[in-house]
Amino acid sequence: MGEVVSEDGRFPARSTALVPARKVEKRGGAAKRWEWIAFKNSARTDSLELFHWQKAGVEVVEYPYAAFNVRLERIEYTEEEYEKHLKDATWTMADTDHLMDLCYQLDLRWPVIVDRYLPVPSRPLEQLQARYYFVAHALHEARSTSVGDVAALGISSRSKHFDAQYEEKRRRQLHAAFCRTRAEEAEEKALRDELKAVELESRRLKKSAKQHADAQRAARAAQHGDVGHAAQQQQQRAQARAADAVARTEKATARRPVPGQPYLQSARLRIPDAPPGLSKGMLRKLALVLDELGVPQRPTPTELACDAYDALRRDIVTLLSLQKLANVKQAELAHLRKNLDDSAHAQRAHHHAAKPQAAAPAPSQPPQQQQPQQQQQQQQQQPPKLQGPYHQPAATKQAKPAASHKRKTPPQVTAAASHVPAADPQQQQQQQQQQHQHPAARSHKRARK
Amino acid sequence: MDETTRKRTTKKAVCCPVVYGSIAFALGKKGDEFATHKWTLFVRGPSGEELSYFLAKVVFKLHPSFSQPIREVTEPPFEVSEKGWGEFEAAIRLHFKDPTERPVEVSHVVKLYDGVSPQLATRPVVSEVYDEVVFTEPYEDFYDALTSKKTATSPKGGHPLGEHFGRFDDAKDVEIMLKVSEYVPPA
Repeated sequence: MGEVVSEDGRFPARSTALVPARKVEKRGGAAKRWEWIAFKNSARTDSLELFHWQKAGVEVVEYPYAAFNVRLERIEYTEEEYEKHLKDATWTMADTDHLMDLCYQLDLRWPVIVDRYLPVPSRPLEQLQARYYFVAHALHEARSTSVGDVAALGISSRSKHFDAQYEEKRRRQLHAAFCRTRAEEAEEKALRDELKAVELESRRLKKSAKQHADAQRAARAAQHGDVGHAAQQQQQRAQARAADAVARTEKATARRPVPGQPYLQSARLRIPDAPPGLSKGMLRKLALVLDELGVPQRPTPTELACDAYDALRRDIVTLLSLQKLANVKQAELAHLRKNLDDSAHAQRAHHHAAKPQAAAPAPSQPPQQQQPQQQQQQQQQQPPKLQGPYHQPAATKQAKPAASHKRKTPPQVTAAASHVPAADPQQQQQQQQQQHQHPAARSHKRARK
Repeated sequence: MDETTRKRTTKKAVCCPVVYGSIAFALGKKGDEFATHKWTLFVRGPSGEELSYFLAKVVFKLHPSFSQPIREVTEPPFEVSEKGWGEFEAAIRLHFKDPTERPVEVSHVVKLYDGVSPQLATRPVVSEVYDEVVFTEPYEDFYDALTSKKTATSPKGGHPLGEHFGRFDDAKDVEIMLKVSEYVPPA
């Protein structure tokens, strides 16, 4: 555990190579001769002579491994120095002497040191380490010896501010981790997974809460008599957003080719890494839809195929953007309906009090609320003026059943389309009026909800 | 060529189909440790036609362990044959007849193994890709050269490895996509 390392945490590089440089021979050459040669290890004090195999003709001046024989420097200090720099309330000089002795003798092998440390209040490893590093650093600083000695003292900048408490905690945690059973490990993993799931869910909820709040704000605006204006604004904003998304997609896929810079047709199949205006989620959905529709991963990149692929991707992105928009609208609509319902209820109670006999339903008009589907169909057939061109493909879509293909049409398309027109304020007002006229039908509708 | 007298065509783009790839034959017992396969890296016309009507030269950048890893081929057939033992990613740079058109580089992994063993000498591993080089508004003379490719003749007797080359057709892909687009409402 001694830290004979340099500042950057690596072992200091040696200037001379430990292994004698030799030429790399070609494979299959003649076998090299090896010799049984006597050598002396300069790190030894007894000048013992040993033998080893060595390549013939290689001159080795010094036994290279002698360089590894590094001794720790003994830390010594006078009584004055101790008084001046090393005084510590929890340590006596005798104990410190003993520790320094052990450290030198045992070359900072801490497990052994902690085992051999005798003084009566036996101390944990971290305290011994803290003391040693403190003494070494303090003396080093006081004497301001050259930097080269730091390694020989077994210290580095990393051990300068040795945090015994942190080390103790770290060791305890490691020990606990080491002693865990398989069951405990599995439990921990399960908990982690659960946490992840909860975080995901909370993020999802936050998102939907935001949408909810938006819808409520719109509803509140509608209630304050500004029905037409607020809804119109919302609608315009949403339409602008959808148009924007489509435009951005087009821009993303259509980079202008430059004369003099020929390109590969296959480059058109790739989506650039960071397409402007296309979220990662959208790209993922796009890939999913393409895959689901059975489009090959890499169509043969002829001009025709690339054109078709481009058009297809553009259409899918448009469809997905509109679906998303439709979902938002749908949520908004649900809230508007609910609020209208509530206010209508209140008004109806008021009307009942004022004029007990309400107008009878007109016989020529089909009772809308009793036939919810019919109502929706009617809305589709007479799209309100405020609607953009977006509902149209979806409506024609419904008229054109999946004839030649086995796959089903995505169901959301028609469902979404049927809801979008209902957001029109005029229609809602009309609906509201009808609700005044049909108390019975209204109660039916409530039951449906 | 005098740049001042040349004129670019307007609103014209020409697609030149190419196929690039590799074909590898296992050498079996005939090979050794460092030459288990004989392979050919090539750029060819999709149906065997010559590409010199728009290609001036092709530079193949092989793995640095080959001697002279950068090979320039200035005449058809644009290909490099070597013996080797490992798969690697080669860079293929296409230089065009009109030097003002910037060269195009593609990369291709020279496949030696297809997971089938033992590898038969008669059944090579072919890995090739169809692509098209698109020239946007080329100079008029180059445009003429590109569009008169119908006169470009295929070499007599076809390519010696021709029987192993694949055919490429977009009809199936286009058909799928057109069919599928019926289910995605156009914007």
